[in-house]
Amino acid sequence: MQIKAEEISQIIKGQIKDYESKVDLSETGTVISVGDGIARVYGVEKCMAMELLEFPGGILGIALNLEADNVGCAILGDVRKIKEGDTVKRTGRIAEVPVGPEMEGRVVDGVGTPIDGQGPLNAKHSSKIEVLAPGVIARKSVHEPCYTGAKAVDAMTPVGRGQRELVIGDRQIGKTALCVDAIIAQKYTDVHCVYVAIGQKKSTVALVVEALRKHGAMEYTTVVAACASDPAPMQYVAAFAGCAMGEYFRDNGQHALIIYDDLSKQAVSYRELSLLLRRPPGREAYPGDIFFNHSRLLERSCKVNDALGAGSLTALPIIETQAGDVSAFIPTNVISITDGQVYLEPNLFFAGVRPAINVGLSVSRVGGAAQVKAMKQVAGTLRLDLAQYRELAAFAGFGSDLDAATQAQLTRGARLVEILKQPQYQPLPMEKQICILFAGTRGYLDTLPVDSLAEYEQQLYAHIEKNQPSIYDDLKEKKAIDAALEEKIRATLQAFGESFKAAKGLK
Amino acid sequence: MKNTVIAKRYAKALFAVGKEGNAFADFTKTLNAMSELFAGMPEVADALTNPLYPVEAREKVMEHLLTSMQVSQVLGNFFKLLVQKKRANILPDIAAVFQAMVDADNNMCQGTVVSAMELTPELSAKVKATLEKITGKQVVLTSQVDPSIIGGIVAKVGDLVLDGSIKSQLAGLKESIKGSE
Repeated sequence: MQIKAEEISQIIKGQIKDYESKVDLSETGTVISVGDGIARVYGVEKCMAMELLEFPGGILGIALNLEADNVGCAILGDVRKIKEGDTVKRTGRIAEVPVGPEMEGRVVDGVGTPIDGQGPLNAKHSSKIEVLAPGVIARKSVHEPCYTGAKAVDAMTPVGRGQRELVIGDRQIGKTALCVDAIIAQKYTDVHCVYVAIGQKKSTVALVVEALRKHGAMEYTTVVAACASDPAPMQYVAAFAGCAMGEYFRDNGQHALIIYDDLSKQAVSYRELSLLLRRPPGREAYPGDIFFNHSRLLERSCKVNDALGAGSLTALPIIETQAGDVSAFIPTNVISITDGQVYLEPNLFFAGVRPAINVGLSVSRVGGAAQVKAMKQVAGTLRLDLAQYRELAAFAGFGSDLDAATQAQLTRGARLVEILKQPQYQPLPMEKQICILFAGTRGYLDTLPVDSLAEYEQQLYAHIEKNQPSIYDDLKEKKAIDAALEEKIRATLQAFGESFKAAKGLK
Repeated sequence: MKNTVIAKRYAKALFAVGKEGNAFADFTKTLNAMSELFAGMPEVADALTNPLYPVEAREKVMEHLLTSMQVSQVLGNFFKLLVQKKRANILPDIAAVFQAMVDADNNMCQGTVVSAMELTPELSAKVKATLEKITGKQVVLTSQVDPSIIGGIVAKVGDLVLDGSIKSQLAGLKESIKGSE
């Protein structure tokens, strides 16, 4: 690109001409002390709670503590440039972030500044980061499914649009993977996604963004990244900022899915902030309003009523446990706020059951209301079957002789566990899930060896697509299995099962 | 400014005493003189606050100071109390808080106006009138000359700053050119 000096001087000339000189009226204060990302400011008497204050050099801070003779302020930027005695200006704005469809496909930091090097956002709207959640009248009960693409979740702990389903488990057992798959699963739906990364490594966030981009999911996703190296206030605020971005869609009659990855780190950064602001510590040194912090955040995810456009904001908050301890402070808090949880277990993960969902401990309080009829028909007994299988498997471990009924139950259970396994980045649409679950729960897999099931599954999808595509269409359209459709599925499974066995040389 | 809480307590007590005796003018004058003394002559401040000297010695210094300044009985007691309680170091803070309290009582406030050149009396009256209109209070204006602002004026009343200086406008212009790049 050639730079023309003449052009540049023209541009600057224009800007100088347009520059409006006006007397700058501002209310100011002075920094009394600064350190650890917190500044105490004297003055700014009319300062509002959560107002943005401007420090020299354009660094912003949020007024969090309003005291008799000073204001405690969290600095959202480089603390090193701020000195004692600096002048602080009021902006008169309550903390807000840019929102809207322009945010999709972008990576922004905790206060909505783009960090992906793709130029300015050009967002037309902005929204306050702290707003009240919709009230009782404004809501409607959750009734339509929001598919996560994971068979185990959609079949047994279904997530509805507007629901808040916690994903909980130890480190490194696929919590993020499950949620990233849920984003990818929204590719052919009208759901917009927001992924909020809190306190993670920048490399991890880059990997997630790369994965989303590779699977074409970045087009409808906003990534809010407050990484481990960002100041604590930024990490605390990022969750609310992401929520504000999701709310834009909810309030405009659209659907959105937000993932908070993860809220334990957000709690830790809020604890840091609170302690530095000298708020009294409580259990595990968390401040007294840590529960309120999470509840007011998660309450904003909901399904709004038809008068308000029937939009929804579904939340999948993530909590990391330490050595499976779900009874620690933060996990119990968030479990009690959310409408259910998906519990991931290391034992299962290392035994090769991935996603490592513990079916017994995972629940969805919205339950069947968030499932289509067809899914209820095939997965209704799944949870019970698996529970019985686990109980029997424990006994069968003793190696005693087993009667035929027990044998049958064990065979069935082992196959169900096998078909609930799913590789990463391969979320399945509802109709495919129903087909494989139908085969599993109706006994079409009982005669097949367990280790051939992954192959069976892949070939089955291809087979239906090629020979009986009407099954998929009917499921998508009717969302229920009537007698005719059941007959068709049975016939297809029967025929395919035989050809599969023949091809494999099985009897 | 860190000791404003303590300074407020002392100033409040002094304010109550002053209100009874109607001696605000005298009090503010003496307090301001004292705080100027602290700022202008660090040795005096040191002699009154340094914990290396015994309290008796410090009290004696204060007593000499009071007799030479001819301070009224009540205020004299107040200063002695400060030395006794080892709070003489916050004297400037107390003076500032006391001034603010008296101003609030009289519906007045202190303002400063900074200009690149000496202001003419008419201009300064105009600035004063404008500030009074904005704050709704009587403004006691002190003016300073600071050539670094190049031109225009900067007026301050309490937390409120009216910045019409060429310096800040140039800075704003620089930001706007940088921002649109």
